[in-house]
Amino acid sequence: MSLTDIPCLTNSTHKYRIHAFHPPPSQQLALPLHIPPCHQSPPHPLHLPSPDHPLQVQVEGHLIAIQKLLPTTSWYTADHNPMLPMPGGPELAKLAFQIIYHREVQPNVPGNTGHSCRVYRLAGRTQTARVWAYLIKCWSLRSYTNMWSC
Amino acid sequence: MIDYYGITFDHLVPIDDTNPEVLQINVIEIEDDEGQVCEQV
Repeated sequence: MSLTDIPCLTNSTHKYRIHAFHPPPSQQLALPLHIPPCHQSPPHPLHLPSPDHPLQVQVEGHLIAIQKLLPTTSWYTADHNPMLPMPGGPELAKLAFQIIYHREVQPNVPGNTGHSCRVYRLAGRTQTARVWAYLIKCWSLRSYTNMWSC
Repeated sequence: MIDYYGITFDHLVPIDDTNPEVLQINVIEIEDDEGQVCEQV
């Protein structure tokens, strides 16, 4: 079933299907990223993982909720067509790394090539959602080395 | 409506490892610290 397209409420040249909600920065205090302890006994080995465990970490959620973790970062785009990665993407990755491993990310550590970051957005919530991803080496925005869609 | 955003980063994953173990963190809001849902998570 296809839904009837409707104009964007903030820009009549936009259509509902391409409209994106990207909140601007706010003066609110940042809410903590709280990862509750594992309820299993013994705890699941990845909840939380040991510092030396090779792991791919994915963090995602509503922009409204993510913005409350990083309120001073702008998620706003004037034309609802954000350039990816959005500025808060690497910040969100750094925040998650700090919470999980209790230390700061150390960029450009010789021999430490394991740190990379994919930033993506989901267009819609349907099974046909398209995903754009960018691979960022060593937390730097300078080297996009991969982009894929599905 | 596009309102989801997410990031992925690798920690100590070898470059040639195309299927690493994944820790998925879904960010949700809990408005009420005293609520039933809060107790469950």
